[in-house]
Amino acid sequence: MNALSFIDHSRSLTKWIPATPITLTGSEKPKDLDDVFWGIKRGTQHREQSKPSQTGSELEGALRTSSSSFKVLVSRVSMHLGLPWLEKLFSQIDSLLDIEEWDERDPVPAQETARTFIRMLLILKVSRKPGLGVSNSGNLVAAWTSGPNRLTVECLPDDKVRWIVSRAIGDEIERAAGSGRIDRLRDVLQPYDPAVWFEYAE
Amino acid sequence: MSSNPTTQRFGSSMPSNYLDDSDGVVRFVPWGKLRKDEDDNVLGALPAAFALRDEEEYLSVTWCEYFAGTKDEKTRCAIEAIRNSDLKVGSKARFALGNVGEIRQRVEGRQNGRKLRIIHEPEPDNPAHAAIRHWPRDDDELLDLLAQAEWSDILTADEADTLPVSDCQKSDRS
Repeated sequence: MNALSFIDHSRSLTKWIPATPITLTGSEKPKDLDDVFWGIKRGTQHREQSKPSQTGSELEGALRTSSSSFKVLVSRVSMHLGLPWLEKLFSQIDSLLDIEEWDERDPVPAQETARTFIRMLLILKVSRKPGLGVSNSGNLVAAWTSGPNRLTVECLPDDKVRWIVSRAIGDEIERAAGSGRIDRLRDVLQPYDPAVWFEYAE
Repeated sequence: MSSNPTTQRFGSSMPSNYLDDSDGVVRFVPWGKLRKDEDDNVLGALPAAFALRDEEEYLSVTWCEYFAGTKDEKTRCAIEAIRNSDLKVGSKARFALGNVGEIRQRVEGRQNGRKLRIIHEPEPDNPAHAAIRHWPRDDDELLDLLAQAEWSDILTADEADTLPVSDCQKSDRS
């Protein structure tokens, strides 16, 4: 039984047997993110599209496949995230892709958006985890919120993101939006002191 | 209130029923479009909740003043209209309450902001449906601002169920 089958048949992390050992540091950055995602080819993943003509069972199947793919991707970097975060991500994706809550007008998230999302988390090295949503295009949306300070990042294919910032600076709220690559994101956010989102308050 | 010149649509001359600035509208926000923390606690709506899909020409809302009654009764009727529509309303979905005038002021006040046309356009599955036309595309900052401000009043299903029930009769304006 391969890792995908384990995840597909077991929604409980306690029953999931990872393909690689898990360490609990969650703080090491992989030397090369491409090495982490070996075997996952860019642009070749069939996009799971939910179509208006899809039956309920077809949509449910597509959502389950998307969830399984996400979990396989996450499992490849489990040694960099740590078990608590792994559990949280699995729970979040299960919740997001729940057939009972899924808006049938949205395309089912493809592996490419999940890839960008996970790579973004590894590059940013955040301590505080984001909330998870989805855009009208079926892209994963990461959201960090600390009072009036909001950061929203839509994860597009090929390591690209669209971001929106709302940052309280003194008595003012500064707002900005932009797009670019994930390896530039922290630099772009630096003027807004991203620790307000990425670190837990002391 | 029908307060505008006749417009030609599909060969007929039906007057457009424009919403007043004092009117309320409800926007359906599914679970995936809600702003959440890492533990899935809901904090509001994502900007995406108010974004147009590629194939959409207008933003869909439900018009509260289509119905007669008190403010809360009208809001409840609008929510029930959404629940009875073809939309799949999950138990964790929310309903964002907005005021037409405030939304208009925010959107039209943007640099290069177009004048919105907010019109009652009944649909087969929702007689209280209204269309917000000239809704901006690709203004992420604006959508985030609306989510924080003009559309920040969000009801859960349980909160909606505490609103008073009426027979949802049509108002004189509908």
